[in-house]
Amino acid sequence: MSRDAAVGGSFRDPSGFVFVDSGTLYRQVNRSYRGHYEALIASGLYRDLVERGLLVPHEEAAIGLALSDEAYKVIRPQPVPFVSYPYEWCFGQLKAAALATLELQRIALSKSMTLKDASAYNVQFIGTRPVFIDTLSFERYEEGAPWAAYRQFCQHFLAPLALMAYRDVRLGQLLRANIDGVPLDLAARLLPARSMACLPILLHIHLHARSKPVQAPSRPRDKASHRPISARAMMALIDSLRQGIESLRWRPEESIWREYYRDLSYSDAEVARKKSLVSEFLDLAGRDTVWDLGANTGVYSRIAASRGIYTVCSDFDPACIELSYLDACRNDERSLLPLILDLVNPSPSLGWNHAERSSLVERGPADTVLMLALVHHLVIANNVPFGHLAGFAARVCRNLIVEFVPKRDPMVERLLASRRDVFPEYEQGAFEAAFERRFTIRRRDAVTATGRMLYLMTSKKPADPREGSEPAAFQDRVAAAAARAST
Amino acid sequence: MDFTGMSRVRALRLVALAFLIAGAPAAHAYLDPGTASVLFQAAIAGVLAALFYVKEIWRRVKAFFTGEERRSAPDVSDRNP
Repeated sequence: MSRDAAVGGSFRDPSGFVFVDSGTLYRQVNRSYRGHYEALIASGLYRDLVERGLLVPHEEAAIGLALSDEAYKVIRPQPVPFVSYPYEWCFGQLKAAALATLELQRIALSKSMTLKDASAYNVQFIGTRPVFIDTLSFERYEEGAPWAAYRQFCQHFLAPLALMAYRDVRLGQLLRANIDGVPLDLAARLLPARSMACLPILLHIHLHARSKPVQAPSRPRDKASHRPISARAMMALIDSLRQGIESLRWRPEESIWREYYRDLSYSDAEVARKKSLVSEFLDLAGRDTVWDLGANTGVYSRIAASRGIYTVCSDFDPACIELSYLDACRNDERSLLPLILDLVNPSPSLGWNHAERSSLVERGPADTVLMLALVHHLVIANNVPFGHLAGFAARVCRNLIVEFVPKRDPMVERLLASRRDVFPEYEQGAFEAAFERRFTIRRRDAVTATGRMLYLMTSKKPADPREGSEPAAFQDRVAAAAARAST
Repeated sequence: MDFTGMSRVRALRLVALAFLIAGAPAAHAYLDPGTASVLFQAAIAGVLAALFYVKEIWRRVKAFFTGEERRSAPDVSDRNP
């Protein structure tokens, strides 16, 4: 076996790579990285960062597991419960990840080490806590050397955050189109002139974008041909970036979806009934992972998370996810991961060979999916037929807690008020028939007087995200998705 | 307020303005943005270090008169927005 067996996203770094063996995630450390790895451990940096919760802990594994003879060590990093990507994070999450990266670099410098890259993909969230996952990103620091990851930090963090804060929070989605971060010249063009009043933004984006590219030398040149950067100047640079990040703020405006709960069409008693049914169904369903799709600010996600079930709380509205994240931070909710996901256009697989970043479906299936007050939006507002919806659900979960909202419900009436009713099949019988082709209905309970129904269903066959291809063991897929997060 | 730092900030903004007027460079496959970034970093790092130094002195002077304890750098690991 060779490096070819490494997972899709792990091929750029010659220091090592990530691979999966029998469902367990490993990282091979190559001999070329030996000196840096020894310094990481001997300097106490590794222990310090792990104790602060900033770096993912690992154990050393048997060298016999190595995939190639360049191996110096094999390590087994603690897996992340759900791998997410910067284009799925809200403003607050990207900001927290940026500050964590700078804090890592500050601590590393104090121990004579430095981060060789500052990719946002090297950070993962465990609940609300950003954790750096690439153990091989640390190198010994030599005074005078520049920060090799400076431009990458600006592209992956400072530029998108500035665009979100100064222009529009939806510009965070530029990270989906630009896998190595937002090009600085593009950011500089899109930012308003007033952003130049902030010194770090002026320097690290506007002027940085205009720093004159040099002709790539025809022969390898002496790398130290720039003025040496003293350790004090390096700390000042990191501090200036930190000030820049900290100065950026975004406050969610009154979003329609935030108002949703205040404007509900059903009574307090009906809300209480829905909550107790969801609790009851969760106890009957799988308890490993829950994805709440179309979660709004995550009222029902929290029923799962409060039971200690790791819960992905997703919605397409950045304001809802921001609020959900801020609440989770305030209340120290460790099992809740809020993410921006548009189900009508979910995260695709991205990067080289479609394998560097996994699609949403590839990161599943979840034990249980919640689809509450969602079906009418997908079917009526987006014309997704019941059969397609059931097919999607069967790819992403084993157990499904789904709410059917009938046409006579005031919320559906509002959806239909502005469009022609071309949905004659939108009724409970057709809904059940479509889902029963793929699921067994275990519970069926009325929630409201208007006829909203809550179902607990279990898939008739093991969910397979790659329909039509060889089914793989669930754990293998989880580990592979986790591994793809690493660069 | 950090008045000592302000004049340097203004000076830096003037230099910045000169840069901006110079116009945006064209992107080319054989142009090397990494090296440009290193040269730029080396150019600004010295100025940032000077600013940092001035601020540090100002903070100590202020702490001396107000009797405030010198704050250590904030720790991100227990700070969530």
